[in-house]
Amino acid sequence: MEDKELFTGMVMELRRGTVVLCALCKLKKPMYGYNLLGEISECGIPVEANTLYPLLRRLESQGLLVSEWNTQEAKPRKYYRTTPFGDEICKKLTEQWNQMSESMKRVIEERD
Amino acid sequence: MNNSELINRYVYAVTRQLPSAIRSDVDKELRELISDMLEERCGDMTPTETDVKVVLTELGTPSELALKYDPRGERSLIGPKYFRDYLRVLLIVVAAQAGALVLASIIAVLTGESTGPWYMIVFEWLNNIWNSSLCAFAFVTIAFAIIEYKGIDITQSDELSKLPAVPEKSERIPKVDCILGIVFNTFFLVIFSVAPQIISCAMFVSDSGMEMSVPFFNTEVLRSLWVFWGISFVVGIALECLRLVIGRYDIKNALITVVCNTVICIMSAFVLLRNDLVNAEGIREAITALEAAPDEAQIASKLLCNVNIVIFAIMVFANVIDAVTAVVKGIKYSSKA
Repeated sequence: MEDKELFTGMVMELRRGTVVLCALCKLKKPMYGYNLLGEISECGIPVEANTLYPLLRRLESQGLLVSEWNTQEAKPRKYYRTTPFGDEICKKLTEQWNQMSESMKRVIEERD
Repeated sequence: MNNSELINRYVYAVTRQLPSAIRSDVDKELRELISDMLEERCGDMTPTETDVKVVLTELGTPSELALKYDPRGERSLIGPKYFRDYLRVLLIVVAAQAGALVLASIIAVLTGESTGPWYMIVFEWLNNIWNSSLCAFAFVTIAFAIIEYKGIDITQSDELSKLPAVPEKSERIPKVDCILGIVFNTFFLVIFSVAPQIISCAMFVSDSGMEMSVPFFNTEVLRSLWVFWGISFVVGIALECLRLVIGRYDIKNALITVVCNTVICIMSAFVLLRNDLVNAEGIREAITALEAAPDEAQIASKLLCNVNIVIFAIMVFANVIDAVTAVVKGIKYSSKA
């Protein structure tokens, strides 16, 4: 039981950083929270609503995203999209991710 | 309770814990999210009470969710950085307080100042200990809360380049000194507040074998000066607490010591240098009553009535030595860096 919890915790740690990069990549086009949640999950990165929504708010306060309430449809929805600064950061993060990915690949291959 | 009522209560429970600036926005956002989650779960069908409960449970408890949304993050009154020091200082100050009070009460009983049935004495005793411990607790907690809030750094810094040299034994301020200082100051603070008449001079004349105990201070005058000796003792206690935490002779310690000792001396001057502080009348009366020889009487009278000045002189001397020591050692050990 404890081992399973330990493992789950570690997987969560691994995933934690990826959600930010994911959101920044996807939000180049405007989306509302639940929509984004679905898209990220479909890509194979499970994330919970109570994690994603506060995260989007935080990214907005950091200037990476900008939000707008759309009141034209039946249900008022809050749409997020990246700012130019957000796009820039997204690009740099992606480079970092690729580098890290390469390094990890090497480490794992050497192990085998 | 119907569904919308439950949702209302939930959203309210979350948002009321958040800063007012983001409350209405989070409210709208949560309602949007809950509605989406219900739609995904139930499709076109009307959500049942169970559906709503499942969704709200999935979101987490209102407190958990509020914490995630709160831009201020996790906060505490006294954070992990200073908590250990806080506990240490708290323990010592409260223990010293209680201890001093117990001592004072015992003395009061023994010198017959405290009268009344034993259970009243114990009751008053417990009452005093409780009240003064509470006060001490409040002061220490508030002080550390302020330090935490303002992010003041009272310990050495953590930066690599600023790491302090390993202190030699002589560089550390002996904890015993600080503890004794706290006990000493607390003890006299308590005595002055509760039973200043205990500070009395016992006189006896060897011939007649008579003994008298005369209160040294004019209690009314002393009480009226409570601001001055109060500040003096409290500053004394605060100084020792700070030195406990700082733990070594450095510039900070030197500075704090000089400032505090100066304050103590000035406050003491207001108390000790007053003509009407000493109970001169009472002393002279006692000397007369004891029928001492006129020479002896004169000398004794003069001595006793002016001891307050002697005490003041000794006090200033001690404080100056203390301050100078702190400065000299502070300079010596900081130039090592």
